[in-house]
Amino acid sequence: MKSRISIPGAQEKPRRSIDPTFYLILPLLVLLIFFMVVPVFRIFALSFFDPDFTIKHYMKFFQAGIYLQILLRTLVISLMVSVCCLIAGYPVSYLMADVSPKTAKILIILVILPLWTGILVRTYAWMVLLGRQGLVNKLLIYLDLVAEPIKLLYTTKAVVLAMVQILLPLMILPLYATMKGIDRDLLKASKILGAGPLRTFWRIFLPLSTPGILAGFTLVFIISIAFFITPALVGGRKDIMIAMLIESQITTLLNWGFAAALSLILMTMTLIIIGLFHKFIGINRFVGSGDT
Amino acid sequence: MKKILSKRSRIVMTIIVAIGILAWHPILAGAEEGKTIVYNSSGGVVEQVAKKVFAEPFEQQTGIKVVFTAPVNFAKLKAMCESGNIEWDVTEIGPEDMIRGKERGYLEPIDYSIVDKSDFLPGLAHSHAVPAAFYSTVLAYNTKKFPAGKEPKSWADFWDVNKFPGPRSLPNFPYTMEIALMADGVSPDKVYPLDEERAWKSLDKIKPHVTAWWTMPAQPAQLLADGEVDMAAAFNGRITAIQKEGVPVALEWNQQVLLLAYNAVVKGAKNKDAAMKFLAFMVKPELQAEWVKMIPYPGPSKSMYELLSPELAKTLPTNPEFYKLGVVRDYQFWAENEERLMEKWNAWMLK
Repeated sequence: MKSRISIPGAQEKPRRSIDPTFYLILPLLVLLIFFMVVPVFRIFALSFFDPDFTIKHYMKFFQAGIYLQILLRTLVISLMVSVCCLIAGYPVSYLMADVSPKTAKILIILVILPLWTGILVRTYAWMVLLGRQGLVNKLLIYLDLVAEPIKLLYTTKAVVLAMVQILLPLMILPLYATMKGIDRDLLKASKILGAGPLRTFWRIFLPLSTPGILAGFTLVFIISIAFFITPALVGGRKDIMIAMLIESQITTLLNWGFAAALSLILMTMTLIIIGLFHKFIGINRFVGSGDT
Repeated sequence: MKKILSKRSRIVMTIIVAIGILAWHPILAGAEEGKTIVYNSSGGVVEQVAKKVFAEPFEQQTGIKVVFTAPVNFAKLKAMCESGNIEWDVTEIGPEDMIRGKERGYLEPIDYSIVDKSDFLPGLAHSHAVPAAFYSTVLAYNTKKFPAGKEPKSWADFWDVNKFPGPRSLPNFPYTMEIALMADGVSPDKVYPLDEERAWKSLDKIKPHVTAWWTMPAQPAQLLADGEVDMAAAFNGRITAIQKEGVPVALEWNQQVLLLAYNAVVKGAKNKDAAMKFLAFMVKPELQAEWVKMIPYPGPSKSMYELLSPELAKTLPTNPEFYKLGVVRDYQFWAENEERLMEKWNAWMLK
């Protein structure tokens, strides 16, 4: 039985006997099998049997153009959220890894603090900020930048903004962990060898931080794709995400077979995209810095 | 791995758990044929009030004890009926589930020789269920923006964006087709059978003026309270609640769309006769009046209004004066067409 757990970045030593750490992950493994693997198989069965074998749910998905359209929208919004999180989170993580440990601690607390508030609460906070009578509009009118309140809420931008704010900590934390582990002497060496700051960042720091980028991007993307409450509350009529569709199939239409098919299609798409992304970044890493 | 529990202690644990489950289980906790019925309700406040208003006096008068379970769950009803292990006698049930339940044979026909339907509002005596609670979708508006004398009085006014300018909110569900038809001049009693073509055309007209399409019942009231929209199709109970909080909103009963939940007897219920008696007991006007004083969703009784204060009566959708202005949603139609229309609705939303 292959049972070793691998910690990213740690050196792995081959060993014959079962690693005792296996027993540590055993409870988690049992939990995952019963509450993840088994249900996924049930969903798989649900989508293909009704009660005899059928592919009608999948036919429906691909024939009525609207479901593909919604899936595409979901992926685009999630991608936008992930990219925005990366752009916003990278400099913050860089700063956190660079400052004194005391300042870093304060920054970490500030980053984690919003995670202690529910998603619903944070979404409502955005509604308060972006609304017609909201703080942003009031400020704009007070500053005489606009005459009438502008429409901020119930737009795709509002969905992306709110989701980025909600998911940002999940990008920053893995990025920070990776950057903290980067050997700063390598940067000095690069400078001594004559590279400018930009070149040093591009050829040394960025490639070394890719495991963090990967982890953060994957986390944010996967969670975005299943977002439900935020787009429903701050989005416009076109911001239907696939989780909302699955919910209505389950609770109002009671069409569990189709909901199961939707879930599986979503899961497959997610795995493909994550796989592609890892492959792409993985190559980039070797081009950049040799062996990490 | 070392065993954490010895064999004996595992047996003891199993017995303790088993006893716990048995003691907790309502059927086994004190069942005696005909002396106890199980009423599956939505739980929470509804259960507390139903206990006090219906179950306690029922036990005093008939000696039949009512045991409550929750929540309302169609999948569980289905499982019970298919396995033949019927745990509930009476269950609260949503309208679409009621239609499905009737068609699949999960519900007993109501014995109207026991349940007195003469006091029901017209057209409500369903063959397999008794109305339990009404609410309605009404036109609600900001009274600062539209003060008395200048207020919208119909869905046609809601659609009239020149006379009544301002952002609006409508439900993000195909049910909105009912409202669209009335806005286009269809009278409430002619909404069903639903003229789909006409509804879509009418919806196209209002689409650019709707700021927010709501999906959760609490949303429209919040949108009105925040000044996010000036007009919305909203549930009456939520509007009455924010009115009490001092939010400047009012609602229009004209062309309201009435919705309701039912009580039904489960097919093969162990105590069918007692269950029918309980249904008959719950629709008594004096108890209905007590119920509605605590839960703003009235039952089917019309004579209970003689027992209510005018202040309370004017907040209720089944007030005979308002009831005749509205349309009761035809759930038979939706049970047959909802899936198709939902798909069309989503496509229309994305256009």
